[in-house]
Amino acid sequence: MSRRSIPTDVFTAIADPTRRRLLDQLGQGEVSVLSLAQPFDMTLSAVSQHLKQLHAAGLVSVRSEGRQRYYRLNPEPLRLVANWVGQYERFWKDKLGALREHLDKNPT
Amino acid sequence: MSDIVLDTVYPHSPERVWRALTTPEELALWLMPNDFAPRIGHKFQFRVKPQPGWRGIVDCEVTELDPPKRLSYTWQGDPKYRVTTVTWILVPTSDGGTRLTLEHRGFRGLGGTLLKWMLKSGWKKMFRTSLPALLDGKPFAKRHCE
Repeated sequence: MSRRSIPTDVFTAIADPTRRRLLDQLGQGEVSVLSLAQPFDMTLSAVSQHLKQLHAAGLVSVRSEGRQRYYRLNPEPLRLVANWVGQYERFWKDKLGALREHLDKNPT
Repeated sequence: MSDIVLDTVYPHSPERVWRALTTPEELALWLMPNDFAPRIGHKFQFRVKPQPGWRGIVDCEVTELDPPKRLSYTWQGDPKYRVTTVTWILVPTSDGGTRLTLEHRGFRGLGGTLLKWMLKSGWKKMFRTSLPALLDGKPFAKRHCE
């Protein structure tokens, strides 16, 4: 996989169902690559590839201990997504208020 | 969770509210400057001064037009993100006013999927603990804001 195709955007990283399942597992705490791969019908290297993409998006951090690699969830980038929808909600509430003022000032 | 639905009652008639929603001059006064035209297929933009993280342009196309009841247009605030849809629904109230419903849909697949999925069991704890702490505290790492 070329460097270019690794998504660094959190939206792209979470668009894939496998990566979301991996994040689900990581929600339980720090997990080794081996136990992360266990429930999946995928090769270890395919799982590693997905983990690499999650890492590129800043969603997981990784720690090596001996020959094992341990992954941990970093939920911080999720804030961007939560903010995105929340910002629109605030935006529209403001605008509906502005519409009311506009109509009150210009009733006909 | 994945869509925004807001409704408000205005004491003004649906015809009056409709004009505020479909006249470019009026839209500019309460929403944003634009080149809207009430015609299906019409492509238009809302434009404001660029802001940090946003170029200040929303690309839209009129997809539904049923005066004075219903208006829909696509809404794309950033070419990187999926196209969303804004729909305005006007229903007359018994006392001559208007119930205006705004639906902003299409966050599904991006924020919507994420939020739905996070709310499922297993993530509830995280939602209560780690995320609120994050939302209150640390500034967002710059590389995620591109």
